[in-house]
Amino acid sequence: MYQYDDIDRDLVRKRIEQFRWQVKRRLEGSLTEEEFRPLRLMNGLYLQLHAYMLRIAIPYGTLSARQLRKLADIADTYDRGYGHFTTRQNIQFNWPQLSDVPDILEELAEVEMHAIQTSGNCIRNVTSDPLAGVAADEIEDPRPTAELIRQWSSLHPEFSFLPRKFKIAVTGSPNDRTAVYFHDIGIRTVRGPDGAIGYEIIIGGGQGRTPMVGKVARSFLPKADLLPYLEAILRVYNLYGRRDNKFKARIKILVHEVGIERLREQIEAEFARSAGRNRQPDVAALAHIRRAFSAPPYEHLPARSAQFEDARLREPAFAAWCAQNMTRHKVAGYAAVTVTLKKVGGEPGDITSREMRGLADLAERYSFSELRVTHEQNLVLPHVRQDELHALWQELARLKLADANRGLVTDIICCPGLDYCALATARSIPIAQAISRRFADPEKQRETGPLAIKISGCINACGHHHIGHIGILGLNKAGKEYYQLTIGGDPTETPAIGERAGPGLSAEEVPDAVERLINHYLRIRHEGETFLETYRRVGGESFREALHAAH
Amino acid sequence: MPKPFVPKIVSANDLLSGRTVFLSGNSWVSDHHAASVAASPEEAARLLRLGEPQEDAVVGPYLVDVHIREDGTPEPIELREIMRVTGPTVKNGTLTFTQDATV
Repeated sequence: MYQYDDIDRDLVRKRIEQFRWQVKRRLEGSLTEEEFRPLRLMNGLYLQLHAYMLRIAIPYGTLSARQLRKLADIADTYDRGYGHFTTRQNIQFNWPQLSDVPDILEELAEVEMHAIQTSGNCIRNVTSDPLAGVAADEIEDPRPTAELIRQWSSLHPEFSFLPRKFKIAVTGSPNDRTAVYFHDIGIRTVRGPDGAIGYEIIIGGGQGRTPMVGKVARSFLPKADLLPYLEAILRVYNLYGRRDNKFKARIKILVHEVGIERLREQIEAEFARSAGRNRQPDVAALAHIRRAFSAPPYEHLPARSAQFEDARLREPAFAAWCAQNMTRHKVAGYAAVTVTLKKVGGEPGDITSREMRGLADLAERYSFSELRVTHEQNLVLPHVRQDELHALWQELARLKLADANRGLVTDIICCPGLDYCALATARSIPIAQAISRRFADPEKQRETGPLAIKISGCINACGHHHIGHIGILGLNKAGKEYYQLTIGGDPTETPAIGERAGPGLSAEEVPDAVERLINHYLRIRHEGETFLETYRRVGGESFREALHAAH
Repeated sequence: MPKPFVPKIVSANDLLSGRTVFLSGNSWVSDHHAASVAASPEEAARLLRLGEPQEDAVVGPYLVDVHIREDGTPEPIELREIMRVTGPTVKNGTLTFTQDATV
């Protein structure tokens, strides 16, 4: 994992000192709320419905056991014993006191974490593939690229007051696990015609009230040109992005209004204009970054573990968990394991301090002290020996974290919704709980197969409803919560925005509606066909009819 | 015909804790039942003027529509405001939140 250098440490420490002073001045009354609000937001501190909320960045989703243990301590000391993983590889604490926040930030700095740029109109936490560095399908580990962008974008003076927030994701694999087409800039690692590794740059993707699939700005960018090209995009956006209307200020609107061809010309012109002036990243700094992501000391193991195979044959529940939650590793004899935070009836993405400590222990024992956070609000233990998988599974079961449901109907993405969020128009967590209870039966989940339900409590779409195979959007009409279903969304390399499935439903009607959609799919699917494949084959009308036939 | 006036209380978030608070007389309390109620537009404006300068204690005072219960205490009408007084309706681990089995 990347370790802070003196510059990182100094920057974070100074920012904490500055914020401690700002909090003090606010509490003494020498700063008004109007003056203080942008300062606290720049440090990830929101004011939500019931309390402050602190959003902490987990850069490109990499987390050490030590960091997770520190988050557990913070949860117990300053909060209410739990945290919430978001869809952008952050963690949020829902109940901190304002006066405690500088101390929390000090504690985070001890383990090289911070909350800088987790809010505000700046470049937010850079996200990436939770299987970075271990995925068998990877062209290149995306973490050094993501770290380079993190360093470049941290407190970048030119890009700290953009027209609107700006989100960047990087993937190193052709199979996209980062929703790269739904970011302001999505970076796909690709091979050029001569076999050299470079990037495909996608811009203008996003969700919110105007969902857009990103468009290709450059199909192949040499690696050395990455930062100058990103600068060119940001500069063009900074210049032409709309500041007169918050709802039209994201780069996706600029791409839509200007057109990708014309915008591409402007970006390329800016790139060419500034090419001579842009400095390449420092060679020593790049080497430092690359070294930080060298492989852990794997052992030479056979590709198949007899112990593992025996355990799978012996215990069907273990076999089911492996089939669902295990991913092939690029190193023989190892596997990556997803620990879903999606208990039946639970709050998606929430994790208690006890679970944090338990998982930190398991990461130390089984995964070189490393974890990953996924945008699907789960955790990954990225380097587990196959012959230790059974022991790990038993330990996870003791923590009640061995649900074999990754990618299944109960693995629901869900924003905090109106239970916590000041922007929400409806509750989302109780809907997720009701659906997961309805489909609690593991056999039924497996029979249904891959199915991504994503729930947002408002049009801002933090719960990614637009790109759910079944998306659920919570709204408010005449004081009552109601829910709009969409079908056919896809966050991956075959991106799609879901289409509306019909009129809004009451909260009570949602689980029945989801069940009708699923039952329709089960009735009409071809052998081996997933929900999304069936939807694409038959079209939305078939599902809409099924949904409303009995309605 | 003008809409009939809906009674109002003043709510905000406590500066230190961020918790939901309500203006009661000249101080801020956590129990919305104890909030001062404005029965007219003039009274609502007066209450808000009372709350607004208290920036050293609270963040963002604003008026909240309420109905008056039989015992004379106010209860918010809008869903968002109901949520602000009940707290999250979901439960996590050992936490005890008000349960609302709407779903």
